[in-house]
Amino acid sequence: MGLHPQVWRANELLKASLPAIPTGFAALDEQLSGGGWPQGALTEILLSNEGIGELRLLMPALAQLSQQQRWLAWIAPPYIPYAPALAASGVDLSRVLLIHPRANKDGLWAIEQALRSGTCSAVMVWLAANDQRLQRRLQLAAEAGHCACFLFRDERTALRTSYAALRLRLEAVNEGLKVHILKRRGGWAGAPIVLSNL
Amino acid sequence: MAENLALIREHARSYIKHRLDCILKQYIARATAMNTVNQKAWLSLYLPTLAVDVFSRGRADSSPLAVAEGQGHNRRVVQCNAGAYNAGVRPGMKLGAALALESGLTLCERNEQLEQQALQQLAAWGLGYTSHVSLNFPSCVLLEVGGSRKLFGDAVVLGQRIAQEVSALGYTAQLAAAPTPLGAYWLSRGGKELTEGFATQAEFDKALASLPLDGLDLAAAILDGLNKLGIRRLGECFQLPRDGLRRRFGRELLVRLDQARGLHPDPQPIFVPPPAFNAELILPAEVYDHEALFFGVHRLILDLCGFLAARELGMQHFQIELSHPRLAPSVLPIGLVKATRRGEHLSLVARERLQQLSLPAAVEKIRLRSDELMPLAARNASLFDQSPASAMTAEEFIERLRSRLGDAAVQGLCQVAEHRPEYAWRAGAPGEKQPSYCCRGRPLWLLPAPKPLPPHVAATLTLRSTAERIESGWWDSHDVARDYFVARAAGGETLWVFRERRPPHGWYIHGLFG
Repeated sequence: MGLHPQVWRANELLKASLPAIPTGFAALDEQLSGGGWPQGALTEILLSNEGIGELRLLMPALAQLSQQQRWLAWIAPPYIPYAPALAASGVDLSRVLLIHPRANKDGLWAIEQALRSGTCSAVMVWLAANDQRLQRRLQLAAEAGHCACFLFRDERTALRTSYAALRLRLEAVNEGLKVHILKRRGGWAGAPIVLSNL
Repeated sequence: MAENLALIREHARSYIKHRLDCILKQYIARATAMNTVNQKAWLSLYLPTLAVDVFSRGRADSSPLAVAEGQGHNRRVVQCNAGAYNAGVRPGMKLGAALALESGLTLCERNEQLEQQALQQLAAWGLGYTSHVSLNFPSCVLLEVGGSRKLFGDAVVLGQRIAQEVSALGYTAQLAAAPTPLGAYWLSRGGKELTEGFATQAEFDKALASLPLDGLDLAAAILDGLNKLGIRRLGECFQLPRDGLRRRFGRELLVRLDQARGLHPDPQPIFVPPPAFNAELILPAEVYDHEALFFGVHRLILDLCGFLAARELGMQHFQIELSHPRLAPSVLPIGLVKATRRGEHLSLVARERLQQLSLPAAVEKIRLRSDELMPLAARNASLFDQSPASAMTAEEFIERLRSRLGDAAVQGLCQVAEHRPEYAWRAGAPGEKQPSYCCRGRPLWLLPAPKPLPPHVAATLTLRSTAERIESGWWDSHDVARDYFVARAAGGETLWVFRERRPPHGWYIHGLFG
């Protein structure tokens, strides 16, 4: 005999309550509240070094977001986002916006503008935004602009507290990419997932 | 039966009569309404302190300021602002006396050309409310608002709105509405409260009659003559015998009195706006800081936006020129992604640009010009406006970023049909549409230039693919001949590496599969 359908069980995440963009990986979607990357919130992606598949993880969502008439802003990317590979993943290149601020302060200003303006569907950031108050501001700006914000950070910052709604740590393994969920909305951190079809 | 028929006929007749009456009533009502709409209504904007306003609108504080005119000993104060007036300075006072009263008085030489230019700008801005604007009277902009009532409301509502906007532009104005142009002008000079239009000719005559003569712009000889007759108000003039008035003061006065009351035709020349915008603002005192400078620039931007809105134009380039004493002016050209006339946005962009500018010296004059104007139709406002108040368009966002970070820091991305990986992309204008070419097996991160792989690192790589040979570019001396591989590093990264096909056959890393 099953439980009454209205009894809430902790292993059921808040499925449709929060706006989200499907990640394109069914195994990952199941683990995330709303069934995808949170929209109007910060997502932290922690990694040891670039090149382990951190962008491939975002590509299905970016391809879908680039169909909107809003920008995909790349703020201070460490290398050149390579146009042929982006196009092959289905991203509309005319929506891509590269922002290279000279000073860190200008960069933080640009992030807040991008989030708040409502003209960006996703903002990807490779700048250090460690300050707590700053993160709070970015979170509020992302809510105001209804924008998904991805902060790429070094995994050594994993122990610091963070305002991000979702925190993932990526690890390269032989089979593909191992995703550790450190923090998510509506549930405890779950078991790591291995994505092999990146 | 016949009785019934008669009854029905009677009913039908009375019904038809009733319907006809209704239709007739509606028709009469509509015709009356049309008549009131077509009636002319003149709104006069009299600028009593124009000579001072053209200088004081360039700064935010109201420290004592006076405008002087004349030569040598005869230099006298023409007008002064409230600060100077409170210190005791009065128009007509000798300069020495004024300076003795207020030592901190800023003095400016009267500049009639600047006043004329200010009137022209106000007239161009007034075209946003009516197509018939006239500059026939001194220090006055005359608007024919009879046809604008349906859109903007009656003369009082419109007048209040105009008064608010004029004060935002930095001018002091007295407004009056009347059925005749001269009547409106005289009433506005009299400084009467703006009232709902005059219902009858008698009411209008009464308002005119109460005006004192020395507030009007009558010739000095005529005014003097009338004063000697003991006549102080316009109403007393109206009562004088016309014959005598003509013999004593000439036909001119009689015609003007008639024109004011609407008994004589008074056609007004229509103002034609200039083809491009070019305005300057002379600062009463030299300005050193950006904030004070921005105040003046903002005033000019409001002028520009009024000019553009009135003519349904937009612009993509404008230029701010800051004049310094004894130095070449600093020129600040500002380009926009898309033609616009939104004041808020232009102000934001101009502010960011100004803050980056380092001023070589104090600024004494600001000039704003825009030559390339293009048609820009107004958008229909949405009935249920759901966008947040601060929402900006995608183009405005780019301009905002560029104004602080610089043009080169904000770019789009394009693909190029090219085999050599480093030439297969380029930075483009944001939003640039380009065809895309499908190209499999490319990394998402490209290094700005291929990086040599040290041999001890190369030894730790495991190759995960067969070679992809790229040989191209013999024609432009950037010839490449490489074998590309996908390789996996010890740290788990997937790399895009190549080996030169030419001696010394070095290994390079060119990208990362991010």
